[in-house]
Amino acid sequence: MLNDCLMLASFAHPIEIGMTPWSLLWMIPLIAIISLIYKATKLRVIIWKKILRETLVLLLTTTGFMYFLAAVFWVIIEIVT
Amino acid sequence: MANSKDNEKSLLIAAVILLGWAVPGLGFAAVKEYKRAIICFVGISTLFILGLHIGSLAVIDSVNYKPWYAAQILTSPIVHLISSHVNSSQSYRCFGKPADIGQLYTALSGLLNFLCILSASYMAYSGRTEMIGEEDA
Repeated sequence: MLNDCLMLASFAHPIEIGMTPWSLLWMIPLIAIISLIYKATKLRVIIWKKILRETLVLLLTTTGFMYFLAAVFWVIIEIVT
Repeated sequence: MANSKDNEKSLLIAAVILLGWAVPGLGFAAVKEYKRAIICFVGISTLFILGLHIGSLAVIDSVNYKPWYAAQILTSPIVHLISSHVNSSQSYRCFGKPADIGQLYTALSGLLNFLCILSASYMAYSGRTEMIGEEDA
């Protein structure tokens, strides 16, 4: 009963997410699951090892490119302002 | 003969679409792609539940956030039940970053389920081995 109440309570109130650089880490699970589902719909044969490896590669390239873009925008802002 | 085969195929595609919407990944199970079904079910459910945990049930709002709701409802018909509960109780509130991230997670789970439904229905249409824009063997 207590476990049920605790489980329901976790959906009744939002969690605390501050305006810190660490809040950007919330994109990691999102990109990981998008990569996994994308690979699941694209690969002809599903082999666990292969799909995990390809998901990891897609996750790292997507995340890396987003950080690269962020760095480019930061440099532009530093130059302009 | 060919006509009955076409009817069977149409029924299978309709079943795949409906099953895939009812439970994420079930469309793949209908075309006997069980590994894909497991991956889609676990991935989409995790994303949706994580979104609800981050932003609370308030992120499912069919009155004030219709465009987000249009994407969220693609996850499952259960979203409509959650929305009815949220609208009738009026006790769930969420603002700021948790609302943004929660809405993003739940809406993307719906769009990913749409991708899975499209992929599964195309597999049902063309025979199980054909895929949309396949990557490799």
